[in-house]
Amino acid sequence: MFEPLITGLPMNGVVDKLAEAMNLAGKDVNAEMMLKDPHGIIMTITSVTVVFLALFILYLSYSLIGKIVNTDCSRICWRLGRKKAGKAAKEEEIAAAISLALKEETSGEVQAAIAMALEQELDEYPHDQESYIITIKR
Amino acid sequence: MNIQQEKIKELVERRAVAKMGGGQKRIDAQHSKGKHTARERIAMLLDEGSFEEYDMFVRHRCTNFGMDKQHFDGDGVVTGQGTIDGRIVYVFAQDFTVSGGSLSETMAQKICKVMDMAVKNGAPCIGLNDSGGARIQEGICALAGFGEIFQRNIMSSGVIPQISGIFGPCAGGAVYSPALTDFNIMIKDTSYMFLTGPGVVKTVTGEVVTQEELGGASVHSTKSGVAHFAAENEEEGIRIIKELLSFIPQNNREKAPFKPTQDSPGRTDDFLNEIIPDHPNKPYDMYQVIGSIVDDGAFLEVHRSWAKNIIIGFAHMNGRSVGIVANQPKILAGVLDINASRKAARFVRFCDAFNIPLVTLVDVPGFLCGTQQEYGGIIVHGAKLLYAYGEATVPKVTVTLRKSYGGSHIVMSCKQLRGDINYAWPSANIAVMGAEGAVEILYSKELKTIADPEERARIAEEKKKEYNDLFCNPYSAASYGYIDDVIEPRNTRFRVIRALEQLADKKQENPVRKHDNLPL
Repeated sequence: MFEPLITGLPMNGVVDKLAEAMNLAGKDVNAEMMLKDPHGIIMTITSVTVVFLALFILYLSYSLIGKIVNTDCSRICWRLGRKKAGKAAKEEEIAAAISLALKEETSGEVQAAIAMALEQELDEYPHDQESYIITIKR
Repeated sequence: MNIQQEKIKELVERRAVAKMGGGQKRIDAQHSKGKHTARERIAMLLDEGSFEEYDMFVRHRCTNFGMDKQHFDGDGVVTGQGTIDGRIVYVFAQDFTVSGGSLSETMAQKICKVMDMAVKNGAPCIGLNDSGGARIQEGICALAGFGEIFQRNIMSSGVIPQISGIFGPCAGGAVYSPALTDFNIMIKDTSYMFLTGPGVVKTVTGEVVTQEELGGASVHSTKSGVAHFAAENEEEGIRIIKELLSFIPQNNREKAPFKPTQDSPGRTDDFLNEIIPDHPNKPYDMYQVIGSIVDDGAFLEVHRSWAKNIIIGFAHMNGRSVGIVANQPKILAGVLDINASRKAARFVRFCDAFNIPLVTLVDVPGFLCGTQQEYGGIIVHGAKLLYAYGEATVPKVTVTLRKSYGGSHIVMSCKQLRGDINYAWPSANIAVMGAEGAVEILYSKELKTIADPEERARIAEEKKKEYNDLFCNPYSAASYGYIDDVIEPRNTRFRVIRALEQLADKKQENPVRKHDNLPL
């Protein structure tokens, strides 16, 4: 038998109303729980699952907020704009490559090269190609 | 104290007296006019602790007019050697506190000594002028002194850089020394240069004019072109001298100092792709092009306020010092006139003399027409620039941005004047003349026969389009090899730097001769 855990409160009235709402009126809910879950395992598992589920949902929501805050809006706009132009797949590849590269340790020259390549790729107008490298050694 | 110590004490005391020049009263008078003394100027100019003075105890030998009773150690000029950013220079600074800085035989000897040392050791010579002119009491000896100085200016010209800072009066025959040097820096409101002063001018011509109006810094930097720089004050004047030296070598056998930069040679600027207006008569600012292609946008302009239709100055490109010559479309549409031709010609010759490569940016519709120009001798003065470019053996890289018509195309470092690398932007128009003028000449008879003005205009437009398609583009010149390549404007910096790098060891000789006969 489950004794009211909270003393001094009109628990009987609350339990009756709850039982009525759960269509358990006239039934001895406690006895039924004792029959179905004598050791409280199901209750334990259920409650723990609920708690962890809630924590997981919180984790997902915080991660999403973090990603939204750290993402460059211009890139999003650029991605949206390019998607409208029908180049979605290509730029997502480029963006993914850039983020992967930038997450690694890269020198300034590599990043400059990536930026230049990106600019050339995404620019609407054609450009005369140059190597931009002075190879003459003196 | 033994005798030796007493002698040392005497030396110290003599030095202290010599350093006072004409005395504290006269030093205070100099300061009250907003001017520094000679030693203060040298201290500002040279690296701290680097100055070694020579001839501190020289005295004049004149006995005329009671001069034997007046002696000042140093005789009105401080001379010696020091360093600027670690590079040796020889300097003389006239001391206005001693006899008004007037030039005597011994002052001239002191100046000639440092000039001789500068030539022997291959180092720049900097003169800080602040003199009332020749010391009248010395008579012909003062004139002889001037002559000795001028002869050394001539012999040093093109051998070592010579810079004159006009920090006070510079009148009469004294002005010829700065006139013979490579660069003159004047100070606003405190310096002036003229052959004959306002008093004589009034006597002879009746003109009433002040010293500032006759020969001040603003006059010589805007009207006559005698002054290359006009500084607000002496501190700025000194700073200009130092900055100028950073672009030029010690002598004509060396290259200018290399200035490391973080500015990448491959830096592109999309702004250049849009700078040329669609309408051919609309101007744009050439300073923006220059600022875009040079290292860190740093450009030291020479003759900023004179003949503004052409821009000349020094910059670095990939660390190498270069001389920039560029037409300025915002002023007189960038035409060449007498002053612009003279301005650019002297600069080109200076760069050639001191191994400084030339980068020329061309947007020139032609020479300025009119009787004033023709009577003034635009033919001869234009020929100076033509000669200067043709004679130059330094690397010459030319970029034609827009117009390049007629004789001015040839003058502005074209391929035929031994231009090493000639680029053109896609917007370049290289032709004998513009479409407007060409159609008027080629089709004048045909157009006159058309009575209907609308029909005449339509036919004229058709002919202009035909002319433009045929000539007003860079590909016509490129097809003959007169242009080495047509380049995208945003790549100009990279292309010019690469051209300069490959030309760094260029060797070119002119025929052996006593000297040329430049059309002066």
